[in-house]
Amino acid sequence: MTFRLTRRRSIRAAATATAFAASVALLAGCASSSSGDTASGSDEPTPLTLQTSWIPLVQFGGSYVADKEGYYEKNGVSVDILPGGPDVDSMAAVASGQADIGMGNADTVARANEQGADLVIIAAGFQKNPLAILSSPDKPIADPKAMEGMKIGVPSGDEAAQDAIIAANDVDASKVTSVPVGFDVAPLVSGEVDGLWVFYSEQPIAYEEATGKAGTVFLTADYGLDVYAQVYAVKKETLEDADKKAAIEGFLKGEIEGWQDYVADPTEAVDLTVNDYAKDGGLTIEEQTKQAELQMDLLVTDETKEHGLLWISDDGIQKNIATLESLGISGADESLFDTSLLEDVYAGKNTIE
Amino acid sequence: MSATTASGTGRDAVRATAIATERARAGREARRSSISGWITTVIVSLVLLVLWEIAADLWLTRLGVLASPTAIIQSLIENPQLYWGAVTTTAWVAVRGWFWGNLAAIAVATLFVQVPIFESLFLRLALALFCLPLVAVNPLLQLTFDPDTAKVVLAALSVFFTTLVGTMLGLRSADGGPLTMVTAWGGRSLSSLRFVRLPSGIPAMLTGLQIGAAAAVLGAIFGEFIGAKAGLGVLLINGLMSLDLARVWSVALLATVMAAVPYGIFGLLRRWLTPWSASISNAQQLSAPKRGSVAGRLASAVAWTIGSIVVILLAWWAYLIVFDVSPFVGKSPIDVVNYLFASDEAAANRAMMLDALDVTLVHAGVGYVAGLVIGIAAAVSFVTFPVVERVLTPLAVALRSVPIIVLIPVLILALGRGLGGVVAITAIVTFFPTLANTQGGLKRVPTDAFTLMRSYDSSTWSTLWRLQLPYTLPAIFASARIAAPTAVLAATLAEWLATGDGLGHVIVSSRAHSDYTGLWAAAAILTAVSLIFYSLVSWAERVVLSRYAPSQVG
Repeated sequence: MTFRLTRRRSIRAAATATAFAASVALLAGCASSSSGDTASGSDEPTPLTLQTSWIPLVQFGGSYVADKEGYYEKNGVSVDILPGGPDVDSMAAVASGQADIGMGNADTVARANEQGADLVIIAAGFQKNPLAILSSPDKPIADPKAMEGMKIGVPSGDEAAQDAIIAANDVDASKVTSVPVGFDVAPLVSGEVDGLWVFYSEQPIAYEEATGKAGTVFLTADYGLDVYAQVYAVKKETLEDADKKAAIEGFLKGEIEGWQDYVADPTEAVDLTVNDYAKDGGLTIEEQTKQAELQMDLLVTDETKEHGLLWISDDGIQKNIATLESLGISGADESLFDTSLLEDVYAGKNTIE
Repeated sequence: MSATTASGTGRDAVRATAIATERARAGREARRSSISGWITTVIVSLVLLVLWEIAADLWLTRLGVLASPTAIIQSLIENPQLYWGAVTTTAWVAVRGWFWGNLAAIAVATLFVQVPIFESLFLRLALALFCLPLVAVNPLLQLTFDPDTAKVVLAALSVFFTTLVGTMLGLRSADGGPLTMVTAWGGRSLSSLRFVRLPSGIPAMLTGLQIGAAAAVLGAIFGEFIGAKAGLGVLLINGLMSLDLARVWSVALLATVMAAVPYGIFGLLRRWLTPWSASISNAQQLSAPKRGSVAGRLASAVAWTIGSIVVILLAWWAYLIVFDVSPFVGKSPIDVVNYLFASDEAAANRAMMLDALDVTLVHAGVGYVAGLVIGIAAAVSFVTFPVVERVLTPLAVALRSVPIIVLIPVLILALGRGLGGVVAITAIVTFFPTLANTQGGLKRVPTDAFTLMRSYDSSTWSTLWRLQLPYTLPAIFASARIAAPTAVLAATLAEWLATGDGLGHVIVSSRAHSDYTGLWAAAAILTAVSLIFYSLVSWAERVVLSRYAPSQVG
């Protein structure tokens, strides 16, 4: 109880402090400018928390740009970007009210809802699911059919994805051996497994670094595991409150502006990641630049070129729902997505200026 | 008369000189043997380091599992600020967790020993906290506390139970003689505590603080898995993601040093602060065996067990209410009962859990025996051969303080994913408290008992078998008790990371699928099993100790 209370109180205290600082700034502004701008009290930014899904990486580079360049502030929100980690459940953080916005895959959101959460996806950072299968070029697994006769390392919890890709591509399940793995490529490098489930923009770099040759990679999104990833999910009830919805829209606008900068030139995002937001993570510019470039394949598609980054299309929704069904998740339908915020912030254009 | 006195004095003087010469000789001998011991230690350690370097350079680095000592040193030298920052961040969490966890453990242990009713009611609750699998606890801590507090709580939880059991053992090891004396002089139980129990409990407490350092470091690193920007855990995750082996093993080395420094300091403290512990005779008082009808004793045991279960369930509910845990994540005992017995899928859920439990029991059972045997064997060889102790203690501390995910690739490569791998993982997690407790116990054998054995010309092994091991039985049993729930936990860890079956797998995949009811149910089953396992070992302990060391039976 005390901890919760202290936490709430400290948030409130922080909010008050921010408000105080803002009003001081306004007063200072009034004092210095003789014309005396009209200061309206509602100008103070609404505090929001964004629960990311992993420890700080260029994977969240657009958010760092939005924060640093003041795109959030400009749109009336101040965003606390919370680091994630292997044991962080961002959907539970949103469902329990600890965070306002959570990042995760569409299937994670659907599973949380299946278990009684009431979350809705408002935007999709990665248009393509980054889950990929990495294998040695000497024993390549270029498509699901090639998994037959192979030993595949599957991170615990992703077995459903493995089953789904096997079922969707007419693979003989009895010929595929699965073993649990963590998030390093050691089992593949040592030859213990033939294929490994990886994050498209991360482990393949490590594999090439370790073995001196580029691994064979196929995106599971191209073989039926077509879900949006790094989506932004909020509680449904958050959108029912007009003020809160406005704040979330403000966040989304700032977020898109950050990612627009990232897509135009990821240098700043890489620099912010390595030297600021993840400065204690021991990352390197070279490696994060490679990751940032690979990530473009996930962020930018024909659809985002037409409608804008983070877009959710009707076609995409249908594909997502089909995939969610193949993953054995029940109860997922169009109501999992709310595209109204994206429509509002883009207002028919494909960029935000 | 005077002549005899004079000649007597003369003889005394001769004898005194002889004794002095002999003492000096023995002193030189001891110094020489200790110096040659250290030389052996250094040589053996260097040979091991060279072997490590060669194995890594030729083979293991290319396989992506182990960095060489030179690669580690190079990485440390090239990024001093990075590593220093990570060490201080993680150490600050570990130190606070270690402090609060041990403080709570010592306070609770004292309370339990002084007021046995509390022990009967609450020990199982403490045990239940210890039995909770990390994969299940981490998300709950993340959602219950602010990030910093969550990490400290995790580190505190990691040290609590081991120190609790160790301290209770120490307080109980108070000599029957002095205790009787305090009582005979009219002292109350508080005086016994102050004058007898606390002093004689200090060595065991210090052992708890020693072991706790490694556990706290590990807890602090795993705490960073629930969201962090800095610390050894963050470096570890990034190192693993990019397969930067030098980074990963530098973190492993630093974690070991962070655990080894307090381990060494508290070991020395134990030696200096409590010289009496090994010198006073431990004449044991024979307490009258407990009488009373079998039925009566059984009834009271059942009553206490039911009482403890009620306490655990109440604590479970209280946690959900006090911390206002969101119902999405926090499931009550009723939810779990529904999941297992009342819902439409109850039968399927039960079948799934029972199948998984079967697997876990085999893994835990085999790993338990292996960990215990290795721990006791290591303790015996450490005490018998000081060189072995000096060479292998750092390795033992390393195995306990290096996160298991760093070791997993090496273990799987060496032993595969079958029972061999599981046993290795379980043994690594369980053997350390056994080693430390048994070693502590062996060292506390009274010196006059040794003198007696020596005067009968008893061999090293005979002394070990006839004197040291029986004397160490209480410590061995305390270790066996701690190891019981630890083995269950370790088996789930191995299942999560290596085999992909059993309750460990059920827990991880429930979490991945946001199935928190399944997760709580699996955690509840694991806890129940660990409690039963623990009780069985306690029962065996009572039977054996009532024969060999009656004062230990509380």
